[in-house]
Amino acid sequence: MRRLLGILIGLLMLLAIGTAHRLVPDDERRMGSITTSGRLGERMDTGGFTITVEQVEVARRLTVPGLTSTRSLVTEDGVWVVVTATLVEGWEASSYTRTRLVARDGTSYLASARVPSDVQLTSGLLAEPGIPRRGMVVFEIPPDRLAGAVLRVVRGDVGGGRLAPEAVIELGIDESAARRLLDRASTPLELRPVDYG
Amino acid sequence: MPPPAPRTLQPGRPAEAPDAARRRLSVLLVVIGLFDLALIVGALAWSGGLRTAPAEKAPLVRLGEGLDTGRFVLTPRRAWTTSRDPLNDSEFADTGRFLTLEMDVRVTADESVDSPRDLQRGLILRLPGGVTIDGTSPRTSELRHGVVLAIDHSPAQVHPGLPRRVLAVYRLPSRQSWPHRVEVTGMRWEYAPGFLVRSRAWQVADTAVGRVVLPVRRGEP
Repeated sequence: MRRLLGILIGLLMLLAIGTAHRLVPDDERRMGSITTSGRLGERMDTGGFTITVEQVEVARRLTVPGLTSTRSLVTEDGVWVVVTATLVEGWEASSYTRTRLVARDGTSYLASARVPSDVQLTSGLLAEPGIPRRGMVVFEIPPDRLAGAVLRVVRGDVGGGRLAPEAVIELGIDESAARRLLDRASTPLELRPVDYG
Repeated sequence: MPPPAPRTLQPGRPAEAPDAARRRLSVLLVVIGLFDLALIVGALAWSGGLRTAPAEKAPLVRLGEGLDTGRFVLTPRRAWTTSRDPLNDSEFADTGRFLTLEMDVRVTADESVDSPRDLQRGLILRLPGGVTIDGTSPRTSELRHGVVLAIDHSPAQVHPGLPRRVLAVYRLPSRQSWPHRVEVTGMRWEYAPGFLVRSRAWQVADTAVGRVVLPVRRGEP
């Protein structure tokens, strides 16, 4: 009887160990970014940086003023989504090159590399602590991915940013708002360099 | 203080003899070990064991058909060679032998392909004369010159739902003559944990998904 009880306890312990092992969160859950949610127009404090998304515009043609001439960027099969925001870094110089627009179906778009980095808020120079940077983040996406899109701004470069602060911002683009934005997309949009202070 | 007791002496041998003998033995063992290692490495090299394993022979697809890598579909279109760096249109462009591979890219994963280098990492190019440019080999990183969008020569970032034509540029090694054909093999990509880092990322697998042979013309079309 005692031997049977021992075997039973042993089996139960093995079962408990197996269950505990399965309950261990995977690396992505343990080391993923720490998100703070908010919406368009709201000042969001992620604990690592603050961000306020001011407006969202859509265009098929962008104009990029340069030192000597103005350049035009056209997308034939997509649209440019231009998000204007102010970002203030919290405590260390950081980059935000993993900023992305996530469509309703989960498809993720990085900020466009066709747009020069000096007019992109989250590309180029590092954000210095305490100095507000106001600028644009530009995405090139298919028009049918616009409705329901969410902006995700996370501190760190591609491949880094473990346990990094991340802002998840609802842009308030429902189906009717998406239609309105797309109707106005034929008007070219001029990009402006990032402002400081 | 009394003088230290003398160490045991052997006739004709200094006092440090046992230490010296041990040292000599250690040196001898190290030499024998290195000799054995060199012998093994030499035998491995002689038998071909140090050469990169040949990639699995992939099915040959017709020119114009896509290679579905699991992350994006690549459709090689044309190839040509130039004697100036096609990625630099200034007068300071490097000269040499450059091979440009024009491809259409359609992303099938649910995220942008941010790094243009990824479009070359999953490709193996075989040229007449035996030169192979394996995208995953660090030794070919200097030969993989870059990938740009054909439309404006900006870095070839490709997004889901927005297929793009790209130009993948290779710098051919000096031993390679002007090629008249190139075989392009596409390797499978998988989203999997790394060897050291457990978080998942896109990596090139060992499996070839297909290969296509293109004629190479001299000069930009």
